[in-house]
Amino acid sequence: MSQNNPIAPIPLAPVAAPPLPLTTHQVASGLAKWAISRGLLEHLPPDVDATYLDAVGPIQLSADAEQILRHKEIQSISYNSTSKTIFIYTKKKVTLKDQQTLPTNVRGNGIAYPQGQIDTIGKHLGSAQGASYALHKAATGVQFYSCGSSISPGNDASAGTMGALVRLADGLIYGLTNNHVSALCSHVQPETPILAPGVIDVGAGVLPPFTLGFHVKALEMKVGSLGNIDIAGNLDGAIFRINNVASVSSMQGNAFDTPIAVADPVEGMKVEKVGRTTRHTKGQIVSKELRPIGINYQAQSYGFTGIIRFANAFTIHGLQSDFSSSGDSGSLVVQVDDHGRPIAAVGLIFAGGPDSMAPGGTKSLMLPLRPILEAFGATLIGGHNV
Amino acid sequence: MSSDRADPVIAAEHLIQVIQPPSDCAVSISTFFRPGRALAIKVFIAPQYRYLQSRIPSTMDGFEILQEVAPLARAY
Repeated sequence: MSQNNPIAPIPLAPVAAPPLPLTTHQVASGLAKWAISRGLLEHLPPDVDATYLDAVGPIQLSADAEQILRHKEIQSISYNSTSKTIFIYTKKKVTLKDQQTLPTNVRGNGIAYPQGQIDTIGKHLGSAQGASYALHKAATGVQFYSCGSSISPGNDASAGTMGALVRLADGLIYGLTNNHVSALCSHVQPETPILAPGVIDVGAGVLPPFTLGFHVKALEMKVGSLGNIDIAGNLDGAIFRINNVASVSSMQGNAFDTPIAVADPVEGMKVEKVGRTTRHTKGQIVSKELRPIGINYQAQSYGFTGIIRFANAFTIHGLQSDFSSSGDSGSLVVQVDDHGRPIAAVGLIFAGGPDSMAPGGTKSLMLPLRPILEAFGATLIGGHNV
Repeated sequence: MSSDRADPVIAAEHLIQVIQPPSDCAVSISTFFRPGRALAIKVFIAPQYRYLQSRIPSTMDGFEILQEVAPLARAY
């Protein structure tokens, strides 16, 4: 071969570069995107999906695998980068026979199919965002346990929120919260101690728990569907007698004093609340339920689960993030004016659920306060140890 | 609200007649407030009844109907 007359190189068909290996997170993201695109997995709000899913395309599984996973109902997809394993959680059990069809390895990552349901019912308490309670320091220097702080029955590992102080016809002062917080869905015996902070919030370096009060009465919450029960009387409210009125304040955390006026909630109303988990938050009432809404309840220590329907619930969206979260049940919702000044109390937070249109992705559900107060014959207390 | 709109409660009843949910926990129907815009109606559908999505109209009695698939709310 003459070096002066080189042979033109023969054009070769382009060789596809081997695909770059994907990380476990990328593979899990690809599988999640496929599952979402096929309606097998709930999609989250676009910004949330963009945050948690890597920028890869969907990774498709076979039609047979899709059919099995559709039947088994995917609950969530998670991964472990260290073990290079992706977990596809299903509601129904994936059998050995199913696993003969389902892939056990995708792009070098093992695939496991555990059975498990996430975020179904009951109290999945979130960690409090900061302290789970507030001590209000009066001008005298004395500190008082504030409304909007953590409570629970003394014999249950839970926590909810003391919404307000109220006075009954007997002239005594009571704490107001949800039935499911202090009476565990009507299961707690009257005169059971109510602890503050709630049992689950007890720990080193925080306020030692003390007996804030004693459970007195819970409003009715009947389990059952329309036509079988009268749901009109279902109200998630309870009161406990304050043990030492000198130890509590009507302040909502350290944010504002409890207004003594009560107003009926309407859509568009600006509201605020102080609660055990998310503390002081601002929001807006966006919805009124037009038909009875079913709420999942659980009182684990009594083996109780059930759907309880309510005739008159309202939805609140937080202004920039969730208005409330697990553990905020019982929080007093207060109407505020355009300057954020409290005007009147309007309701109690009692539940929540996913809502793609809500900042934070979660809606808060509130029951109107007036029927609850009327059922107890109670009036709100303000100006107490403020 | 325009004058041709019904009461939202009546619109919700009409929606139920159209959707025909098999369970009273299959859907929840509420008003939906949007600042500066007309009140809408929002339908939440429980995931196991996802197939009902196709039965939900875009309007009912003058109300825009929004819809979303989401699990039942839970007490917390």
